[in-house]
Parts: sequence; C-alpha cells; structure tokens
Amino acid sequence: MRRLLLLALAVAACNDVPVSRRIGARCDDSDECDQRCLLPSASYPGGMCTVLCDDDRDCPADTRCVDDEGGVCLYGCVGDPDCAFLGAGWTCQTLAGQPGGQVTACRGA
Amino acid sequence: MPRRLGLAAVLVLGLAAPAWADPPGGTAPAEEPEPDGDGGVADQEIGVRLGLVAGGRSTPGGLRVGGQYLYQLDDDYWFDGAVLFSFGGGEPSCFRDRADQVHCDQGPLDGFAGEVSMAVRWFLAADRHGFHPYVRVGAGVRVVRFPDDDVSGIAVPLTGGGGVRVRVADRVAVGLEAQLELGAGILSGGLGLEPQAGLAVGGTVEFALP
Repeated sequence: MRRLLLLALAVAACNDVPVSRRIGARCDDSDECDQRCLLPSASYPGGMCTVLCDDDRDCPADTRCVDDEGGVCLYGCVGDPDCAFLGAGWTCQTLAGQPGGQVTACRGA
Repeated sequence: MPRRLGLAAVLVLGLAAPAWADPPGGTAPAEEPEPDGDGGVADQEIGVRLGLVAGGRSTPGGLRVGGQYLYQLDDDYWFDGAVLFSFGGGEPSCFRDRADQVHCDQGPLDGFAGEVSMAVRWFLAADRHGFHPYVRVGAGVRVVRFPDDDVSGIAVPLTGGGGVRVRVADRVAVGLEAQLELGAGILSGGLGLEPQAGLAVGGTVEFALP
C-alpha cells in the first residue's frame, strides 16, 4: 500500500506544468484558453493564453498587467532568461503598464 | 433485528460509533439465519454500489454507480465482477504547454467513465457483531470520456482496497468500502499514454442468490 501511495504522489507530481489554460498556454483560438488567446504573431510567438486586466491585481501570480490589447496579463521578468520558458522569440521588455507607468514583461519582438 | 438494522444504517451513513457495537447481554448475532456459504456470504450474490470516485488530471471522477456479482471460488475467496459508471462534471481543462505538448488538468470529480472490473474478494473472519471485513484486488477495463475537451480513451486500472459489510436481513447485506485505482490509459486529443489514479469510496447493498 505504501508503494501504491508513493506511485500516486509521483503521478501527481508529473503534472507540474508552469503554464495553464488561464495564463501561458499556447493557443490558436480563445477556445483553447479560459479567457483569451493572444493570437500567434511576432508579438506573441506561438500564441499565449491570458486574462484581461485593469491593473496588476487582476493578474495571476508572476504576471503583470500590460497596456496592450486593452489590458492583458503577461509574465513579469527581470531579464531575457526569465522568458526562455515561453520559447523562441520571447524577450524581456519594458512595456507600458496598465493603468499607467512601466513594467518589464515577456513579449515577442 | 431492529438493532442490527440500526447498526447497518449507521454504517452506511459513515457514522458508526464503537459504543453502538456492544451487543446487549445475551443477544447473539449468530441467531440470524444465514444464507449458504461461509460467514453469511452466499455462494452467489448480486449487488449494487453507490459512491464517489476522485480522479483528476486525466482520470475521471464523480458519482459512481454500478452492479456487481459475487461467486464463491474457495472457502474465503469470491470472484467479484462489476460494471461501474462514474458521472462527473467538468469544464474545458486541456491546454498546450510551450513545447506544444497537450496536458489536461481535470478536477477530481470531472468526466465520465464506464468500466468492467474483475477482482478477487477475500473475506476475513467476521466479528461477533457480524461485521465482515474483506480485501479486494483486481483489474478493469475503462472507457474514459471528457466531453468538454472532446477527449476519449480507454484505460486499464489495477484496483486494491477493502471494506466491511454486515447482513441486515436473511439475504441482504450492506457495507462500506474504499479502493485505490492505479493504471494507464490511451487518450485522444494529443494526450496519448496517460496515468490513471483514483480513489473510490462508497456503499454496497448485496443480495444473496438462492
């Protein structure tokens, strides 16, 4: 029984994916996301699921509210390596924040 | 008899209190007429199961209902075959990660499953109050469906668990049981081979066949 329990825990641990339908998953359509798909483009390579926001309080952990597409949450960053998990083409950029100011967040060129 | 029926009701509700198990002086459960078989379990019995199964990720969960058939193999062992269905809720939960691999994060009570299982039930000695514990191990074949993600598949879970039952009438027994279910399945929607892990708890009503 103890081995079975350990196996079950190991199975659960395998599901540790850093992105979700809410934020970060690849997408070609908003049906693939909880709320909205930032369609694949140079700005969002591979597409990315996100949520709309008016300020950072609307965004999931580790994301910032950016003044883009009416206000969307993007992963915050300090440098390009923080954006590497999103794939090729994503870099750490200084962007206009929502509702104002500037934030550094991951975005395509 | 009324006292035993009361005990059975408490058992089914999961509220059994040890103090209730003390029989009144001079009243012996052995006075109950028993069907054929060892310790009150007939050679053949049919039954129904009702309970909850918790899954998650790509394992369905929800309300589980089903029917079962017991057939005595040996003094202490019975074949335990069952047809089980689980009905859960759900919402879209599959997504593509940044490497374009599909993952699903279904809730523990999401999805649908239909299953045929075959197991061996080993009855341990009943206590003086007629509570009859058992251990069950087996395997099944399960059809899996998550309609909100349009994901379907087939899985093979191995099961292990146990329970306790008590006879409440000449040919009727009720019980509580729990079982762990681990295995693997092949699912559509780009998921491929996925682990299956679930925990089922529920109650049973079993009827001895003549």
